[in-house]
Amino acid sequence: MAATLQARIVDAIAAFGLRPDRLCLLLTTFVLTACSPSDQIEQQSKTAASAAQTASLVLGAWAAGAAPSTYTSRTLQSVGKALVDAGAQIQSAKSPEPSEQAGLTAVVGQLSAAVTRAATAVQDGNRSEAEQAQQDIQAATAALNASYAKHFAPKP
Amino acid sequence: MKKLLEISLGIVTSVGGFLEVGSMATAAQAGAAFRFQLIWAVLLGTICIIFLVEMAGRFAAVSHHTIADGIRERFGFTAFLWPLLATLLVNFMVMAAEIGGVAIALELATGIGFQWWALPVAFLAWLFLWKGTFGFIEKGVSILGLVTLCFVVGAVMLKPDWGQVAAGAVPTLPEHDAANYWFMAVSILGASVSPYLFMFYSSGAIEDQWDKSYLGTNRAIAGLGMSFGGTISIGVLIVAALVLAAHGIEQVDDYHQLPLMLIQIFGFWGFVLFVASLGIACFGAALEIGLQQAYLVAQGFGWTWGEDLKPRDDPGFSTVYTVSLFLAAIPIALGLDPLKLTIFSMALTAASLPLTVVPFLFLLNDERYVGEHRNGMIANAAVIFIIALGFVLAIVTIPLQIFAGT
Repeated sequence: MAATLQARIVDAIAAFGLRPDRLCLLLTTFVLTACSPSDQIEQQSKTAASAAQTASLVLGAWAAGAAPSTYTSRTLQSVGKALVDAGAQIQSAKSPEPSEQAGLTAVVGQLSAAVTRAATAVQDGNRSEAEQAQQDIQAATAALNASYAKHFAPKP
Repeated sequence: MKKLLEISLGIVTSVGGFLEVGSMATAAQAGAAFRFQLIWAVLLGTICIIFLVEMAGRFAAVSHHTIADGIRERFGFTAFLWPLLATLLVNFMVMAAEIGGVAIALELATGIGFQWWALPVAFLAWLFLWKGTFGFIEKGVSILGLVTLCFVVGAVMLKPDWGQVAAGAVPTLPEHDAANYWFMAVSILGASVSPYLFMFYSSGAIEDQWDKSYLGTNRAIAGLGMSFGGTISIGVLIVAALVLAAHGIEQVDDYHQLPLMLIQIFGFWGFVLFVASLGIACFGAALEIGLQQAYLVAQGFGWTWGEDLKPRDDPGFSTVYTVSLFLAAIPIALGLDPLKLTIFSMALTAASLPLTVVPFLFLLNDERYVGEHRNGMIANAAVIFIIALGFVLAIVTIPLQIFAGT
């Protein structure tokens, strides 16, 4: 996507010259036209992946006694909300591959549920439940990466 | 010996006061998303601010005018109104972000939501300004701000590949997320070249009664202080790259992610250090911006001003910082996400640069103000470059803001 964007910018600047008003118009046009459903799914998948890694990292720090429970629990709640939002946005995008889109939505849903369980476990001080939730997060993260790779793999 | 002490204290003050929520958040986001690739933006911003701060200090020491004073006197009140309004608006947003930064630190420390802390933080800042002196505000809080050096220590402890770090000093095109890359670059420049920094510096020089004998001190403080300050920002970027990006966290859009940078290095003390760094740095910046708002309006309207005066002796000045602080707390008290506000305000700061930097070209070349100490070729070239950069940033910021989706 980035390479395409750069190429478009370079070509267009060469074609239009460097007049600021035209450059501005050009950039505004990009803004209005460039966010395709595929971009939206890609962006939200990345958000979900970052959120999942955040949950894993903070849970690991909490288990090692390096992060306070209140902070860990609030971080997990916040990550959970981000995952719910990401899942909803992936679901609402009009993708040409609905089955793969549904797969991504389901995995993000699993992640969100595991993170919510982890937040509750940390709040209750239940280490074994938190450990179980962390394993579920890691499994769901691996599934998310696989779904992402499948969705964005080059099509024949 | 006295001058050496003043230079040391000035440098320490600049270092301790350099990092605030904008530079911390933008450097962390840049490091997580693009590893070391945006170090050049921090370096460029630091070089720009060194030039502007040196000029602001020189102008104040030689002409005994602040930059705002100079603009109003040289161009008239009508011309001054535009930079005044732009700076007041941008400062307002940055101040809200700084209050948000302190509120987040308090939320992290206590578990009580950041919204609840916004008004108490504004009240505490107001109390400091109402009761404190300029020296207390400038030096006391900034010296505490040296805690932010923990990011530099952390970066060294992580043993980065210094070759790759050095390679980041050279601008390169991104391999992914081009719009986000350029938006981050703009935000880093906005955080580094913030008008409140050089305008506050020129007012501080007047408060400290600088004269021509301070020109060397000014050069040393601007050069060394800002360089060391920029080093802290690079420290944050390196830590974010080696902790967050290395763990697959490439997007930092939640302030809860930020303490993880230091927790991974220092364990529980990393959490404490992060909370202290964020709280102190943002509180110091909120005080400086509060004062800067009052300086701007008081100097613009020709009122009596000075942090060392009693509030009853400069009522207009005191009223402005009082109103500014409480108004800036409102968006945070209403629950506006401080991190999003920070990134947005940093980008707008960059866009507002031409309005505040163009007058430098005239003021610093006007013999009536700076006499023989007017700008040389290099300083003028630097100002012209910053103005050109500012115009480009002003044009691209809004489309990038929407396109990058931040």
